[in-house]
Amino acid sequence: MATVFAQITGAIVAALATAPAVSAQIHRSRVRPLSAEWTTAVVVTPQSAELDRLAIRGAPINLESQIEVVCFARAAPGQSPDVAVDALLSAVYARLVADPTLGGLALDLAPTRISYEFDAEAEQVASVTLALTVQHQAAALTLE
Amino acid sequence: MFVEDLSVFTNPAEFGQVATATTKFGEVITLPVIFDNAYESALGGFAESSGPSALAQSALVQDLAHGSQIEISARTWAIVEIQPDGTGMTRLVLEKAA
Repeated sequence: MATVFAQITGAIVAALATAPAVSAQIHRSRVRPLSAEWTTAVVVTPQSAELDRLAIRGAPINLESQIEVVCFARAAPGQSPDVAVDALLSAVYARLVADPTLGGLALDLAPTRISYEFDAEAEQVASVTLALTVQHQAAALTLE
Repeated sequence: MFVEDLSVFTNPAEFGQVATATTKFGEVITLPVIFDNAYESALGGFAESSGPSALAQSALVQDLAHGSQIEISARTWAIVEIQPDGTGMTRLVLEKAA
């Protein structure tokens, strides 16, 4: 069985992909560049987790996991890149906070930081990283 | 004084091609350029893109400005940077235009 990290990452991807999907391109831990043909995309990547060291030996452990959701958009000619990514960011945020338990998998999910990055080549592009803190539990011996 | 013929660098009969541009005065001009649009990654490798640019004689692009449109091979680009190299040639950095 998958660890809770994989389960939570998958649950976030599934939430974003539920019809209507927030983007036609939703990827998980993608390390290859996004295609030049894609005008928007979302990439969900687990970052790290803190384990509760006060847990009783053998009992389920409490974890606080950091997950990043990157919203990417290419601006249309004449459009500012922050405007290009705005609707996608709004949709992703709304979708995730609508069910902060991820269907019962997590105790809570909270957006904790939003950071922007811009670039320009053949077109202007923007990525917005939405940092999430997810509180959840796992079996002490398996992380499931 | 020796004046170098820079037109050989953008000769459409060799590596150059003819572009059509609209100047800041609204005049439509044609000029030979060397067009380049090689792969470039954006956002530090996060996304694929390309780096379109056109190399032209500086004397032929002095009436072009940021936002001027230039058509090369049936595609319209907007000029977003003008980079004279000090030797009589200028690189026009381009971005997709409507």
